[in-house]
Amino acid sequence: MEPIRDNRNRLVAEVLGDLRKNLQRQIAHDLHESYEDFLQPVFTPPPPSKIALIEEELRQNLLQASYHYHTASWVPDHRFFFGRPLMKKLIFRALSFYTDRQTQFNATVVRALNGLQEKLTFAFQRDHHREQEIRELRAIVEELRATVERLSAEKGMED
Amino acid sequence: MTDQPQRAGGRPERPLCSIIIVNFNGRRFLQECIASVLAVDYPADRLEVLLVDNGSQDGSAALVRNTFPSVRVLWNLDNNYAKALNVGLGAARGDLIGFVNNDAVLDRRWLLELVSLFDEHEKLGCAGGKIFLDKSRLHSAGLEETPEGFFRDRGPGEAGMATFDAVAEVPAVRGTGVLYRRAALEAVGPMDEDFVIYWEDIDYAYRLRKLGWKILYTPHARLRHAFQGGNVLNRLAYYFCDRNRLLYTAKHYPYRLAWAVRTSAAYKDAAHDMLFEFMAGVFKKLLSLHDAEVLKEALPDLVRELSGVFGARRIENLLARMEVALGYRKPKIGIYDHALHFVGGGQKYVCTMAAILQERYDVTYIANKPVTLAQLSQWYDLDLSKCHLKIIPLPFYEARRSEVIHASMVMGHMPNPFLAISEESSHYDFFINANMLSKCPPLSNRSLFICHFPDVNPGPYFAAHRYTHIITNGQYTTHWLEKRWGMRAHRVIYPPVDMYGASSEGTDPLRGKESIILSVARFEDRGTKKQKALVKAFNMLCRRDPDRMRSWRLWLVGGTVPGVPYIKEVRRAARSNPRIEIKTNVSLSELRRHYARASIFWHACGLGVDEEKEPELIEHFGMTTVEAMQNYCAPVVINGGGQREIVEHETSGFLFRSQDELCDYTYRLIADPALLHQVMRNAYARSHQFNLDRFARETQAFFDALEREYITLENPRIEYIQAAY
Repeated sequence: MEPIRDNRNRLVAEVLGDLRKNLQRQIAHDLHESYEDFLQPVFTPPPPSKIALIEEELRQNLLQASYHYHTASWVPDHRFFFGRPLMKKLIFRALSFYTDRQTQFNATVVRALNGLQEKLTFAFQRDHHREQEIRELRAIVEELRATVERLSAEKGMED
Repeated sequence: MTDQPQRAGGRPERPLCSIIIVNFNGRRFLQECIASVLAVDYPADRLEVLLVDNGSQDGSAALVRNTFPSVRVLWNLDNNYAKALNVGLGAARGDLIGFVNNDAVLDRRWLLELVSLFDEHEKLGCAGGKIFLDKSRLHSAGLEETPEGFFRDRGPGEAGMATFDAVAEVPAVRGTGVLYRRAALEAVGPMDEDFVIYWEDIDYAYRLRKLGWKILYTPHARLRHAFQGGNVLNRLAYYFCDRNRLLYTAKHYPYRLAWAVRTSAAYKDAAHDMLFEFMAGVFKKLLSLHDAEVLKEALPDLVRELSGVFGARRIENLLARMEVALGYRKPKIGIYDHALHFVGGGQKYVCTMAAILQERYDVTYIANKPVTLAQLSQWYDLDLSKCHLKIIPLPFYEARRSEVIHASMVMGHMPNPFLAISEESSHYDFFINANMLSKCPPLSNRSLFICHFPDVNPGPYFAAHRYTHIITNGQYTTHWLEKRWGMRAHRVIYPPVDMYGASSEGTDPLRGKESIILSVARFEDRGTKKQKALVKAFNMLCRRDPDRMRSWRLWLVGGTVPGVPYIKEVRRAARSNPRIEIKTNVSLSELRRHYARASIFWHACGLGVDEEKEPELIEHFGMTTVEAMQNYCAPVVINGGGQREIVEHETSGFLFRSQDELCDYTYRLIADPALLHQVMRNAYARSHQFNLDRFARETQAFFDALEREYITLENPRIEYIQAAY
């Protein structure tokens, strides 16, 4: 690299460099958390029943969605940066929900959530979000949250 | 003022006033506006009016020329209001220079009242009058600063005749109708064109005050204004006012920037796309105007605020881009090749690219298996001395003791091992995925996916669509990229082929040629290169015209590894014809000699393959064909894949669809030496389209454009903002 001749620029570059280092540390920390959150449930082996297989498929789909979201928020030109903590919580909650209740699962519910998940994945995969799309996506997220919460409550009662 | 010029009769001469009107498609307003400017109570010979047109398409300029011949029309082809003001300032001759919006209408005494203020106040830099929305409702009686750092009009919407009826010093006046002293303009300098439109007047007022000039409001200079072209909810104003408030804060109050972001309209309205768009310009202002000590104080708060909204990664990427854009370092390129430890055409393609780019950028190769730069240099005969190399082993493959990094081994239910590379990619400005590892999402500011052929279907972790740019090795790949992955290539860069034979000036390049048909292709396990078909075709030719074919030989040259059964099959097929020779694993110098001696080149990879069903089995490009052409061989090659991009049928070679056509075209060449020689020369000329020079030029051009876009922090364009929001 060419040395920065101008003293002011050199000092400014140092300030920028320090800030970037701090941000990188923060990213590394977030990444660690993310692995913990998203990758661990994957290793649960699927139980051999039909319902469980559907569940497993959904779980993987959700993982894909979370993965898409997770990487999307990193990619600079991917205009997808709203509500990151909310999304993270939602997806993780959904995953935990399925993991915890594998044996008492209703295929109709799976289908409903699968539909939502598909929409979500599709939205994640689109490259350039505009305001309208973000609004749509938010609506989907809200829908997902409501469904998961309702199901959690219902399942809780059944349990 | 004491030094005013005197008229002949002894009365002091009025100062020369220039009124600048900036216009963009404002024809409907201009008639009334200009008529009011020309009708002011002021000596006509002491008033000049300039119209700066920003490229209107509504006939504005023609209207002004025909109706107001005394108005000077200037052009500013960039639709940037602040720049247009500067164009006007550059041409204006007045002692006092005014700006009047094209949708404003002046009262007859407007100018005289303002001029008299300048007569009375020596340190007056700028003065503005009372602006009405209609006959009585007030729009602005100058501006005042709010405690939050916004500026607001004094008295908007009020019945304005009786209010704000005293001359007052104000922090700023609206640029709708304003008069400046030339001396003040010269001291402060031009308008800041980064503002484009809106807030350029407020910024200018700050700069005036900083140099000790006063700004006065007078109720006696009146004008009427169709506020924001009559549309109060103007999206353009929303965008630029919000953006420019941040620019203004970055320039003059850097410590308040984090707060300014929090209180911006885009932040409050969750218009995050918009807010992020503002940031490049804001950082540019901040970093280029303030010293390190100020930045050390101001930046952490801002970065914390922005990281909360956009995530740390995005802001880190933005800062990295700033470092390059402001010239603090050259761009860093990371090139990832999961198969770098093997010799291959794809690897050569990108190694050549690295050799071309290493002077200009900080280039690092990323591999998963041990390999050295010295090995790469030796394999591809390239100088890579300025590149760096980083080996990142992937535990997933290490645990399986897999020498080959097969992405297909990674299923959806497994963690993606390539996230480690993804993470590494974030340390570069440009990340190049050299060998189509489609499961590696890029995290760099710009990313380049080099597609040699889309030979897998998108599956779990597919990330090729996340790259900002795609380069293909030819139109065939481009076609299938679109068909299979639904993606468009940004540029086609044909592989670099550099196999020119040694030639001496003045000698006939065809002189050393012999009656040899050459094929250069690997002997692959599945026989995809179709050497057996070539043997059969040669035997057919020999049977067709034994006399003429007596002097001709077929050489099948190619690499192979022990234990490939296909080569045994080829040998068996060729056993009956002593004029067929099979040469395996020849050295580069031997290969060069073969090319130099051969007259005709055959390539049949893809023969009998249904291109629609198995496009990957057809040569995607076909470097050996170009190598042969660079050595004056006449190519007779398969009409499929990339071969049809290289060879122009019946000009620089022949394209065949069947074994019979292969025989027919070859026989035409053998039977007609003049045709053969012409095709050989044409083939040589054609081969330059795919040589190393061409590759270097295309590569440089691509990275020129990429870098230019990366380092240029362009101001938003008015047309774009109008269309986008």
